[in-house]
Amino acid sequence: MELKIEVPTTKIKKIKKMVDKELKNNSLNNKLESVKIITRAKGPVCNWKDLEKEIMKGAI
Amino acid sequence: MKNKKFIDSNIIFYCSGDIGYRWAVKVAQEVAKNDNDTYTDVFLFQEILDRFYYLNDPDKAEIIYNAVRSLLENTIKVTVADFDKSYELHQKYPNLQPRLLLRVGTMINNNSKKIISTYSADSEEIEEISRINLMEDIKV
Repeated sequence: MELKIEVPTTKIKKIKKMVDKELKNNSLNNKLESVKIITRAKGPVCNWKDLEKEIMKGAI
Repeated sequence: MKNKKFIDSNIIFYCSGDIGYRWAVKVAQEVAKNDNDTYTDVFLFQEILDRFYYLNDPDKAEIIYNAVRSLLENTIKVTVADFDKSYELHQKYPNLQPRLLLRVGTMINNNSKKIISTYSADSEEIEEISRINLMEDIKV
């Protein structure tokens, strides 16, 4: 069984719009801008062990 | 490659996390400023794609993938020799994850001993590499 986690789409659309704008301005070439983009794309923090546990739960 | 520092994927994951790991962001900013001193291997990108695949979040995968590709230009390939090295390490550290040992094998084959990573009891066991203390030595 595949593990499916619901992610709010409104937030993603906002981020995507922002990234598209950034790409347009070619600002991804700026590494510090890249760090900002990574930082803004908030998501659940999990390490591999946690993720593996979640996958196992789904598999069961 | 000598003296270059390996960036572990957990830095990226903490940076993009929903909990405010400010130090991870600081580390990433330092990496951005000193990109000649740091590198990673291709498996970091596989981890990014795998992680967001299991989170069912392809849009975020695209965002993070592109941003990290731009941030970490020094990305090296992983070769059969690196797998051989990791298997050699597996004999020495049978309880450690093969994924971690492959990373160490790649580092050893590239004459690199320093890793920029969060604390993990497993990686502290490995004599061949040393972790840069993020809290004290933020300058990479």
